[in-house]
Amino acid sequence: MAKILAVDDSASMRGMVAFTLRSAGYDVSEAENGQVALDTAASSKFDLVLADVNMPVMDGISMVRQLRTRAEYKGVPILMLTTESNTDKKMEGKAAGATGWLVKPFDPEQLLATVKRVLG
Amino acid sequence: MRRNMSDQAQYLTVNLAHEEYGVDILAVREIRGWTPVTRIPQSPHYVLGVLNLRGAIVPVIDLRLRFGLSREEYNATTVTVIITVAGRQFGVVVDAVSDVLDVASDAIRPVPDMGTTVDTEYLKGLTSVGDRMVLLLDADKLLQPQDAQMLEAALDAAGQVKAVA
Amino acid sequence: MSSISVTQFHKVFFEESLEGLDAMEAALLALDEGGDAELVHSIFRAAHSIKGGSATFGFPDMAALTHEAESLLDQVRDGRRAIDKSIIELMLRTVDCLRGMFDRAQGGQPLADADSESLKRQLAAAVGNNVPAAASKAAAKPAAGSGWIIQFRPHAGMLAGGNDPLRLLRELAALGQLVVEAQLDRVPTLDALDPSECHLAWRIELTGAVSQDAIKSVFEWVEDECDLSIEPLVAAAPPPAPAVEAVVAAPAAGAGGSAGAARGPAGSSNDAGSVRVAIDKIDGLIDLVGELVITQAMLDQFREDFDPSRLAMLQHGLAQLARHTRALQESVMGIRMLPIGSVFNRFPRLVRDLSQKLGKQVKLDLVGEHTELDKTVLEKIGDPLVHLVRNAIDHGLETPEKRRAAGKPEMGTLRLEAFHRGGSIVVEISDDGAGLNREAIIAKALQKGLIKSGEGLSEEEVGELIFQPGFSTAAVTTDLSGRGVGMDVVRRNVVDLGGNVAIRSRPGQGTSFTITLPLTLAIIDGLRAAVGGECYIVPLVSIVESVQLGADAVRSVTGGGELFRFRGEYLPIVRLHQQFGCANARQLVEEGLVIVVEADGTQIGLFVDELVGQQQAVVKSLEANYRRVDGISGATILADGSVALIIDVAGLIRLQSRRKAA
Repeated sequence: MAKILAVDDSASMRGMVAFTLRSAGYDVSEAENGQVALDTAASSKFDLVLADVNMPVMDGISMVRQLRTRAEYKGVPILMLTTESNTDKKMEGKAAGATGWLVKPFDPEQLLATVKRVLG
Repeated sequence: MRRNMSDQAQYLTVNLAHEEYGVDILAVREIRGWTPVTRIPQSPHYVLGVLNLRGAIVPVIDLRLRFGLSREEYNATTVTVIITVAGRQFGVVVDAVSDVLDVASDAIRPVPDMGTTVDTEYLKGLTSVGDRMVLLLDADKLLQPQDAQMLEAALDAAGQVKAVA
Repeated sequence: MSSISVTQFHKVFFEESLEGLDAMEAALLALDEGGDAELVHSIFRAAHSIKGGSATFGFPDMAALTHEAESLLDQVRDGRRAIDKSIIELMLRTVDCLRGMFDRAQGGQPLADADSESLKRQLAAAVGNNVPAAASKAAAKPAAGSGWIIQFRPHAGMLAGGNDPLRLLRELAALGQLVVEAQLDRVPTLDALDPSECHLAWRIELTGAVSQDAIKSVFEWVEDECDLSIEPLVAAAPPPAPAVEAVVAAPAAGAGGSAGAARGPAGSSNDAGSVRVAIDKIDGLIDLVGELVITQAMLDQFREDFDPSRLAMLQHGLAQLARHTRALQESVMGIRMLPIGSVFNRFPRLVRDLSQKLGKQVKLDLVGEHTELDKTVLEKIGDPLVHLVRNAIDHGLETPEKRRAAGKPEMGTLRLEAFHRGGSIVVEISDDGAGLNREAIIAKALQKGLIKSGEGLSEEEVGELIFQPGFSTAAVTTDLSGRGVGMDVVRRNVVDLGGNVAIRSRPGQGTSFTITLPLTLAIIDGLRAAVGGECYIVPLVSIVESVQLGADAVRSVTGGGELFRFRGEYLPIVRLHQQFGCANARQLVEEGLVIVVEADGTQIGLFVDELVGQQQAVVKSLEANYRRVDGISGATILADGSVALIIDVAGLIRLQSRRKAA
């Protein structure tokens, strides 16, 4: 089963994402900020990364930028979890190397639909 | 089992100084043989102490002492009846348990203000079974006078405080 | 799938959001005192998280309010707007309003009220927006014609960004019937080919009632990573002969949703109480359990065949078991430990509001926020601390004029500090105000009949007076402290937690309250002391030393008291058998043992028959089924199943001092 890394500083949001994906059979790891995500992504290869934008320690955009410098994460889908108000953040994320985004708020069905869309 | 009739209740009868008392069986948690308890300082004389009831600390009172009777030596038939009232558990030491009685509410008569060795305030009535008379205990009230005593103790303490300096 | 309901995350969401609000408030207050830009970021982050969460978890009113707050913060963050008092005030009100909303959310009540609506409008006005009555959604364009021709030419780097052209084709296929033509003109020769780059392009014919927006949304993520044209299909145009043709079938119906229907009966507030635990604490527990399992397996060998020659090994195993059990217990207890910062956090706001109201200048110093306390203690220590802080500002600290007149800086200092001392947690609340007003207190105590004369009372004894029931010193009761709660309640609350409050005051220099609290309420280390045939547990933390006294070491004093000399001071002896009425206890001092115990800085000697051993005691309540007993803090169950009482050293010392005073 596909391995997914869920990165969000909000425990409830991360919990919702992780729970939804696990219920659908995905193998989900969690990280509470970009730095932790980078460490986690180094110890294990993920098929998809879902990352919040605003996080303490290291934000999602810096995380994507760093992740894309690693050979094993070239081409791996990385989705930013962002809010509508952050149109420029979407573009900033894209420029940093994100694959796309999922606009908050989303419900479990929307999340799963998007993940299926990316992972096929 | 308690019958499905609102006017009937079951009572566990216990023996105490040759009289028979009934305790509402719904208040009775369990019946144990007498085991030594740990004495609690500054307690009324009828509070024998506390015992360990599956991890809970439960006070035990001697019903004879509670009723101002003389204390009997505890023997093989002496039992501790564990009662729950208003979420609080306490044990009551009696001479022996004897029976379970069905008592219809219309068979309960008020306690005459004399003739019993026990202060009537702990009784909610009496009933007869054949030629036996059974005094029905008001389990709720067994602990209450103790609360009054607590109040007294509190007032004493307050008096002591006032005496500062 | 339909079983996933977001309501199960409400609790976590509430907890983290309330923490977020606390952080927001703290940052706002720091900003008020001229903090840096990082504060704005952290405030923004907190608001942003609450907005995202509230929208996700089904609280649109909250999301709408935080959206406005976030917009305002965004302007500050971008430098489009300077932070000023009015914005801070507005944000603080937003914090309060959101707290109210969370309260109502936990109770399953409607979130928005007149306050929140008016606040939302004020925020919007500050941002420069008018809140629209209803968001007017751009009407979706109707499906145009019978189909589209899409020219899709990814840039070379698109694959690296994680967007797979085949995925996009699959998504298009979900919209209608596809005819796809791959264009190979850009594909380089094999030696020049970089497999991580995309060199193909596609011409796609999509037939069906599909809107242009629907197609655009498929390419939404790659707009700037490809050349894309979408044009209506001209009905008559013959399809070009495809070089490579693929027909991708539309997958079966998409994810059928039941997001709305999945709301569980979560309306009832679940107040069972929970603790958020750091992952490293859990990992530590797992490690310990692992070791315990290994030790158990090792000990298990002895069950089958035990040879006396292996005794040493058995002893080693048992020692290991004891060590691991102890460590496990400490770790499990550690789960209940939370930093006191969560309680301290409420004070910056309280101090700011109070001092403004009273026209005083107060600087608040918080020290030791990371000191951890048992969750139960933490929950119950808040109110007493609030009361002491209010008191300090209300009564302790002077107005700027008075301070100036006294030659002190106009700004007073209030210090809250938490730290470990021995097996206890100490919380100190100190101010550099005027100190206790000795005359006023004595006058009041005389008036209330608490004392007969103020002559010769020590500073300590005067301090003790304010803890007496019904005592209040304020000449005019302000609305701040006139809440019907006195210092006696503060002390009782702390004592109920197994702690104590002491006061120290120096005229003109300030007052400090010292609250001593137990680390945990659940388990204590104690010594078993025998008195007559009975056994009492003396908490180890209270014990200074045990001494065997000679018959001549004890002095009787008038009034029946006994004193002995210990480290240069005379301490009273409390004979436990007298205190507790134990029969058959040793009477002669030289035959028993005196345990020197200490609480609140006072020492006494407890006379017992002997000490019989040390043990850990799981503290059980006497009050659950019985009542409070003076000098006893609780009970525990010994290894043989019998009950032993735990001595309340602080209580005994208080009883002793009363006796002395009486």
